[in-house]
Amino acid sequence: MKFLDIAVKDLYQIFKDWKPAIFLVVAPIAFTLMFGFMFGGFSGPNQGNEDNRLPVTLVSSEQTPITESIRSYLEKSEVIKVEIADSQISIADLEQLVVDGDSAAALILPEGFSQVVRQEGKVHLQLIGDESSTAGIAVKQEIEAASTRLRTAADTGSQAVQTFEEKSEGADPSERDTVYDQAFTMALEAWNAPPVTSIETQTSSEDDPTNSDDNAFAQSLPGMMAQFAIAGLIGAAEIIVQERKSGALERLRGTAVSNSAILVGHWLAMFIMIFLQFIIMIIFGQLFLRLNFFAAPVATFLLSIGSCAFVASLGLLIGILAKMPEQTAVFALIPMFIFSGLGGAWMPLEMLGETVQKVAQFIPLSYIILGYKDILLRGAGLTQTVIPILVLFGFSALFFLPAALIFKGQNK
Amino acid sequence: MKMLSIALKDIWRSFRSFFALAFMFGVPILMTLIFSFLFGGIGSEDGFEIPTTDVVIVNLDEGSPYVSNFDHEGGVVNSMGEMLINTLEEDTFKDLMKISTGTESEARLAVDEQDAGLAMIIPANFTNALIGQSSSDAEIEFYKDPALTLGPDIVKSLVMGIVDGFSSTTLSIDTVLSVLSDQGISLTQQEQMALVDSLTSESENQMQDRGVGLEVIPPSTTESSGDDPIKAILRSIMGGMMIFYAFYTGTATAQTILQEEENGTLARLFTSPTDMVTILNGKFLAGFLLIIVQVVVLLAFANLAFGVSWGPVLPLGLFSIALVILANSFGIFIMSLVKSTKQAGIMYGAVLTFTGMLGISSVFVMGSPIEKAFNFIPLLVPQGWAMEALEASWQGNLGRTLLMSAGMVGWAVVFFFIGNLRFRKRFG
Repeated sequence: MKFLDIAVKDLYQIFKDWKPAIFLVVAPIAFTLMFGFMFGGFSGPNQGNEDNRLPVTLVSSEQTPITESIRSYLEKSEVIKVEIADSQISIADLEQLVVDGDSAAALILPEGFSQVVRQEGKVHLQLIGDESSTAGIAVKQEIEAASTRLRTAADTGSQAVQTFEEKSEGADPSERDTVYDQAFTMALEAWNAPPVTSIETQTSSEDDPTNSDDNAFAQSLPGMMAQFAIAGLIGAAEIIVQERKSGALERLRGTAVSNSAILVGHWLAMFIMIFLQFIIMIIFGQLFLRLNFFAAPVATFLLSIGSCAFVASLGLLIGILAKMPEQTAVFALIPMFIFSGLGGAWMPLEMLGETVQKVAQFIPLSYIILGYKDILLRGAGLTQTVIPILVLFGFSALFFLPAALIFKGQNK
Repeated sequence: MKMLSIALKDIWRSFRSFFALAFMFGVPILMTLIFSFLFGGIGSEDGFEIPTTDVVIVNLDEGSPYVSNFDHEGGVVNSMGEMLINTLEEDTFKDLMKISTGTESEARLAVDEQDAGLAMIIPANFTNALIGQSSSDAEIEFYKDPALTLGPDIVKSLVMGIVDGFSSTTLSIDTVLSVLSDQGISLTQQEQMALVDSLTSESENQMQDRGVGLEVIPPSTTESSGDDPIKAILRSIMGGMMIFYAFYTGTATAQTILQEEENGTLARLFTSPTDMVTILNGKFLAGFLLIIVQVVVLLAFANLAFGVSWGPVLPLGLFSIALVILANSFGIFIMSLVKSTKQAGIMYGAVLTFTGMLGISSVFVMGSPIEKAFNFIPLLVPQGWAMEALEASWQGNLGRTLLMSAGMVGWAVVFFFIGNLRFRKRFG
């Protein structure tokens, strides 16, 4: 039971200072919120109570029935929120709106737009937007769909006028214009109730439909929790280095405490520290971020144990490898950045290339994130999360064994 | 001269330390390489890769008793559902989706077991709805793996674009007939068929030209660098990392005061005719020179290795000087708060990582819906001012660079004043 005394001593050293709390709680919560909102927060566009559609500035150089129909059609979009700008606004000002983030994009209906639509049936829209951003991509898709529908409306108008002329001889231009405008507007409005619509459903636990929420925090919370667990090792691993530097380790070895008790004691302290962090983060996610970890309590518990075991083993290895206290920062931060970046903590893996996805199979953080996402999004239970859990225990052993061997070697 | 000797000793010590070098150069370069790898900048000329989604299609479409077959691509199909599948199987879409077909239960199971990212279920009344012969609307179900975001959304958008093309004929015919009816005109069966033919051919042309009428113009401020998107991202990452780790260097240099105190060399220095101000100035000078070297090396490396363009020299120079002063003063301030090198580790980890990540957070939220909020939040920490100044600098905005750099120097004065005061009180 001597390992317990060592663990208690380490924990006292860790928690007698308030600063680790920044790493263990404040930083992961802050960055969970930041990355979560970055990927859409609690819901996708217009699925929540508030209007979170992407603001798009609409500039029309002319006011015609055609441009009015387009404005009216776009205002009903579920993806974009139309904000009308003065027709005299300059291109530079529009670009600045997009660059400043005041608008996700700016849509321009240029001079003579209505005439071109009416006479040639062509719809030429100009969109100022950044295609490399998620907002820019979403707006482009929406406007592209709108552009196709506008062309249909234009064709419908032309066809209506053509048929009208064939059937009523001597129709004057104003009558033709009226027919065109009416057909154009009706065709555009008809797209608000198309004959074929789509419905999106997704994998979820039958017992708990909340699992299927479109919740970006299900990606960001596990990622940040794992990332900052590694960062939190700096202080804990430093204790091992200080123990060795101060000669306390030598003195300890002179007593009846075995090497394995020392190792396990240090490992256990780190494990408990990280496990506490996981508990706080999971409760935070459950209470404030609508993440239902408790839908699969056993799977959540075992996955947390596996995750903490891996991080603690990594911390043990860092503490044993570092010769100076400040080295622990380098040894912890480098794997933190590599594991986080390549493990999908900052960005969902499916958004990254195939090569990164293959590399991620060798990165322990990807299994932590996968496991929690399985529970939170796919409604998985213990059976479905058993592989990530086992892999994490495997990684734990992979880091613990060299730590033990090196520690034993240092003893000789 | 004493000040210079102290500075040179610290610089020499830093350049002999593997760990100082790792923080100064290794980690920022490593981080940029990781991001370059993440975004496909290494080994790929194409930049971003859109993921290929495995799609299982379930065609429940029963066709229509009114139209028994449809011409499609020189062949004949029995339903619009079949036509949709044939369209999706064309080579154009093979990079975006890998298609297979199955029963509804097989498709759902494939998604549940993560063998597929999306199941697309075409309803029984699909054809009838498209030709205007169904009493209710048809609904295509997209059953997706909730852990996937981008791929299924792209496929859905694409499919609905094609379905729009199919729907357009029906919508147009209904509209034309309605408008003509308002004008007191009715069409014979034959005239209606001619109208259908004409509108169908227009609809087919539209499907070929999808997106042709849309011209996307990138904002000139993001385009002005002449970089491709990957290089622009790498510039943000490298710039962010440079700022992040310049603060580490400033703090590490200031930490030598504590190390000297613990080793007893500081007390020995005090017995010589060297006052506290000279020692602190010597430490400040060391940090100043080290961060200059760090900034110059990282800027040059990013330019040579990644082809990153940092914009005009004058604003870049202003930013660099302000960064050097700020990072250095911040280090003195931070180290004046801790009592020993034992506490310094957690300061590196906690305070520097937290403020650093917050300061450069604008890099991570680029183009996201919360980007606007992150125009201000990073300004709560000094690193945020540095990031703003650097962005203004590469955009060639001299006025804003000056403003932000002045802000950085303002922060630096406050940090230096407090740090200096605390150290003088402690060792005075």
